[in-house]
Amino acid sequence: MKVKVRFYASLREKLGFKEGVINLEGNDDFPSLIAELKKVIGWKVNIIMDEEGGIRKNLMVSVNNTLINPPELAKLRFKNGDRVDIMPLPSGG
Amino acid sequence: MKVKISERLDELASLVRELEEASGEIGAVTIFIGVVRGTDGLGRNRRVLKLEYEAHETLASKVIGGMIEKSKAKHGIIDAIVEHRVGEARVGEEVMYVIVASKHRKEGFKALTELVDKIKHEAPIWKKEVTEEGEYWIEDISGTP
Repeated sequence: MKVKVRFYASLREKLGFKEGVINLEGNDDFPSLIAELKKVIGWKVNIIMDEEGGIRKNLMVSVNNTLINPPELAKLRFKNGDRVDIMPLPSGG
Repeated sequence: MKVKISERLDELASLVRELEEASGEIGAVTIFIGVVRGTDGLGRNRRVLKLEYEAHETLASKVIGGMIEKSKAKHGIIDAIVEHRVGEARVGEEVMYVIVASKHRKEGFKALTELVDKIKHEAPIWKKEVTEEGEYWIEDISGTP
């Protein structure tokens, strides 16, 4: 199963990584996505995830253009072709 | 309702006209214009040369559209238009329009203030300040007017 992951703004610059396709074999959940992402960006995955294994509070996540509340991330089950956007909190206007 | 995230804003007068012509019940049009300020937004006295905006355009349009619908339900406004620029913007340039049409000014002012605050805090749009001292993404705008 392939999931597209994209990063925005300051997060993209901190990670040095804009977007990529992550191959999920076996498990289809968010922790598995992060585990595969860690193989690509290494220790920088700690910029996204906190010590408890949750998404950092200064970030937001959308899947297929729908924002996901952090407590709901654990319930996510990806499908082939899903698009995951991980973004800093807003600063527009 | 109209939400546009783009490198250029439409002409403000035409947007106002668009709202006014949509309903004969409009008694007030309230407008916020976001302008690039020459000093940084967090009180560090850095001279801003320009701003660079980035957005998740699809999601921002969806999120802002939802805000407008909620505002209609909550404040009873008739309609609203939001436009926000992406890309570079120089000092003094306009970067955001929030235009609210309502029957009376009271709900218009309330809805406008709330919409502007919500867009700044909840719409996936990000701002980088390019100053004389370097470039900085605005990470935390809480507390900035």
